[in-house]
Amino acid sequence: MTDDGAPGSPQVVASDAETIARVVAGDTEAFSILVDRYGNRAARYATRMLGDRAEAEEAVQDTFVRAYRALSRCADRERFGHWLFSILINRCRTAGARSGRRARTFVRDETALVAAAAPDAFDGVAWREEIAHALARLEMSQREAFLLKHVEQLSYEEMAAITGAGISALKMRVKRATDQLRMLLHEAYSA
Amino acid sequence: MPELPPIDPMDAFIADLQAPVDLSALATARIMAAVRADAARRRRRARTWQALAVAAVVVLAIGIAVYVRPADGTAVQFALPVPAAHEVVVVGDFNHWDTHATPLRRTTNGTWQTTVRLKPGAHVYSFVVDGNRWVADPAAPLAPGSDFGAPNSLVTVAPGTT
Amino acid sequence: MMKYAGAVVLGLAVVTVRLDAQANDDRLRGLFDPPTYASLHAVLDSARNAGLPTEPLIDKALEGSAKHASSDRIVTVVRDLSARLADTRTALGGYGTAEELSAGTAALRAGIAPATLADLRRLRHNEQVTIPLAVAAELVARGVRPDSASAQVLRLAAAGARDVELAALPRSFASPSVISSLYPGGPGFSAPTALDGGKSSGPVEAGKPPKRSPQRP
Repeated sequence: MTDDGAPGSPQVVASDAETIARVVAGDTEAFSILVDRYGNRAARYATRMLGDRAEAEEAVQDTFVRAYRALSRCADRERFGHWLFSILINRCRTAGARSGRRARTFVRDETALVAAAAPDAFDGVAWREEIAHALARLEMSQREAFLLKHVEQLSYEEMAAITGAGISALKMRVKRATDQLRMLLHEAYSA
Repeated sequence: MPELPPIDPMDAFIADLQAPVDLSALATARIMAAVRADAARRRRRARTWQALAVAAVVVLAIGIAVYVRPADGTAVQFALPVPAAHEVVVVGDFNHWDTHATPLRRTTNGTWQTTVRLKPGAHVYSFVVDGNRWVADPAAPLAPGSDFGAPNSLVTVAPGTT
Repeated sequence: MMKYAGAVVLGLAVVTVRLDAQANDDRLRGLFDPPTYASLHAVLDSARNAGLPTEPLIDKALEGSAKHASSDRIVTVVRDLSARLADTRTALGGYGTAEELSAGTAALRAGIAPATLADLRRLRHNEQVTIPLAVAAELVARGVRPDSASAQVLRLAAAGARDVELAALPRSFASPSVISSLYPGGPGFSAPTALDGGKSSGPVEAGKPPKRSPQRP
């Protein structure tokens, strides 16, 4: 997982391993480097996964604080991003289990209303709602796998290492997710 | 039928999912605040453990020095041959004249005896037989002066090795 | 950090000693009626203010109580002892540990001359004089004349004799009342013996009759 550094900045950037070493040695402020580096990506994943900005931010905050506390236990410091994401995935699973049902019902009703209002034009708002709705309709592990594969663009090996699931199981989930999404999108376009 | 976007809806869908999301500044601030608080707590805890460790060592050292100190004084055996007695105690400056502190034990040949550790110096003592009979040690010199009638016995204890 | 720990250790040691003294003081309170306790406490306070050790005074009061002496008698004796301790301290050059003062008081009481105390203090300026004083008192108690007892103790002290050697001296002088051997653990009477393998009691042979003291008072 490469970092999201500012494009074109030639300054020497401390690696994840170096930064972790500093934090573990007592330089608490150095942890903000890791937050800056991975925060947006984590926010994106959590937002897509949970469908709710506020909940997503809470999951991300929670993730980073836990990462700080467990930092000395991060075995592969060069792959801090993966390690961080495994924590994030767990946090999102917990949060998603809590509020999953609510979100799905809400999104569907909204989408139905919007679609009914403007059936002929391509509506950006409706489209965004469709995305949320379609994702929300996926079963959690499928959603997770789909996001990791297509949004985070991880290899199946990396996904297996992070989630702990087998590669074939992950492939199956991604396929099922893709099929269902296609179907949902086709439904939306043919409505 | 609505106009289809020029690309595969799936690709558009994924492209939209990939749109960046910014972690709010507020969330970042909250993360760092929690991390700093955590660090401060950890430092405090480390200091407390350090202080406790020092205190524990000090307490242990005191315990050893004061209570578990190696044999203080020289072992001295007191003996009184009174086979007919039921109870014999020795009292003296070393046990602050407490008639309950140092009972003697009767041996098979009728001699009552006990061993006490005494600090080096001059010590005065007496036996009390059956609770009310004050008996000086027949085998020891009498202490000079008898303030309260019954004379005491005198023993000089030198710094010994036991 | 080490200095702090040292101070704590010292402080706690002092507290322990003071607690000990306090315990015995409390015993007095429990044993005597309030007027007697007040009188005794006054003597103790004076002694304390004069820098004299109170432990021998408390022990004397406890002795009197154990022997069921009258309150008046006890107060008188304790007051008297306080004065004796002060005299002993003067004879010892104005200072002394509780043990030195107790042994010195016994020596003076036995008839040992104050000059002997001063001489011992001079001879042993770096070491405590408790044992030489106790030995001198014991020699007199065993029938040796005070001036002779002083002479023997001073001679040994001047020759650099250590406490263990000095303590062996009285063993050569049998108590007048002894009627059997001084063999440690032997049949019949035995004097209180130090259980250090006889190292401090000097050469004593089993079965031999006790030596008669060389000088009779």
